[in-house]
Amino acid sequence: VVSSSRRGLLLGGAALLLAGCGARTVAEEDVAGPAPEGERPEAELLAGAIAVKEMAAAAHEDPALARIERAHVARLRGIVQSLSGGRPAVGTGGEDDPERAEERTIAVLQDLLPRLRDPELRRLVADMMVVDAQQLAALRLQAGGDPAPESFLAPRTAG
Amino acid sequence: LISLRRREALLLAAAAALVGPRGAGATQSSLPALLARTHQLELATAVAYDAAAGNGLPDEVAAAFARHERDQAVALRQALEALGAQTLGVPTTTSDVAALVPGFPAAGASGPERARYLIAVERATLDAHRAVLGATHHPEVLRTVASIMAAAGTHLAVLRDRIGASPAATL
Repeated sequence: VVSSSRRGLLLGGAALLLAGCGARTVAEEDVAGPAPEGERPEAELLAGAIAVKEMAAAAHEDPALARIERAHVARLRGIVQSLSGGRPAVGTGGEDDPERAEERTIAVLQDLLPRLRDPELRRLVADMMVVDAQQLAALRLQAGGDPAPESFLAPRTAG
Repeated sequence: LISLRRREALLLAAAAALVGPRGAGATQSSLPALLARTHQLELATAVAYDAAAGNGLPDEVAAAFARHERDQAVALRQALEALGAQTLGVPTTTSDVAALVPGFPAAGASGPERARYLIAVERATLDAHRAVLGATHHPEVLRTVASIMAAAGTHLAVLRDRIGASPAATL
């Protein structure tokens, strides 16, 4: 999700700033962080979320869980249409295991979140991700596993 | 899946340090103020889970969820420290929790009533995190907040199951 070199850069930068922290004062916009630049249009980014949610819908054997995913797909398609009228991409590769599908969906949405400029879109994607986390826990419960073992739930996109 | 407690704490603190210490004109909607609110609510949620141990939730579930909330609070506190910002008052009692999220169950409340209150506390905390999502573009802050929100989603599923609702809610 984030390369190790970028993490190293962040941590190194943090150490430098912390070392000389006391005197610096910054404006609110600096605290908020820079808006993402050079990023793809949001409609294109959301198409990735649509694709992974279609994959998750196909993986679910539980009709109720599949229905939730399809509702998310419909909502995202509507947003993409209103943003650009473009046709979202489909297909991210199949995933037969519903738990893996949910983990992958959560990972893709978490990766997408910082790339969206519109705060309302960030909130919508985050809300969908929370629903996906609930679905993941529900699937774990059904399988007799620990439904909520993590303090920070951040599955990897790969695999 | 991997345990991210230490890594997430480091990354969030690093991100906060990169965006700089708190400006003199910070407002209630500023990133430091919003992070302080999430920190306070995470600790309140931990206290609420402590109170629910054997009293609405099995001991081991309540203990695990309280630990998750405190892990998350550590990451948020480190981010606040890196920003040079203050934490808000630390909730330590059920009265403190009730002051933040009204409706704390009475002594004789049933298990489902207690679970419903915990759902309300989790939702209040999620709302605070949603506010952070609108206040910063910083990737590491957003990713860490997202990982905390996702963990809250798994808690909600367990709590919904306790009240006989479908664990997976719709949007």
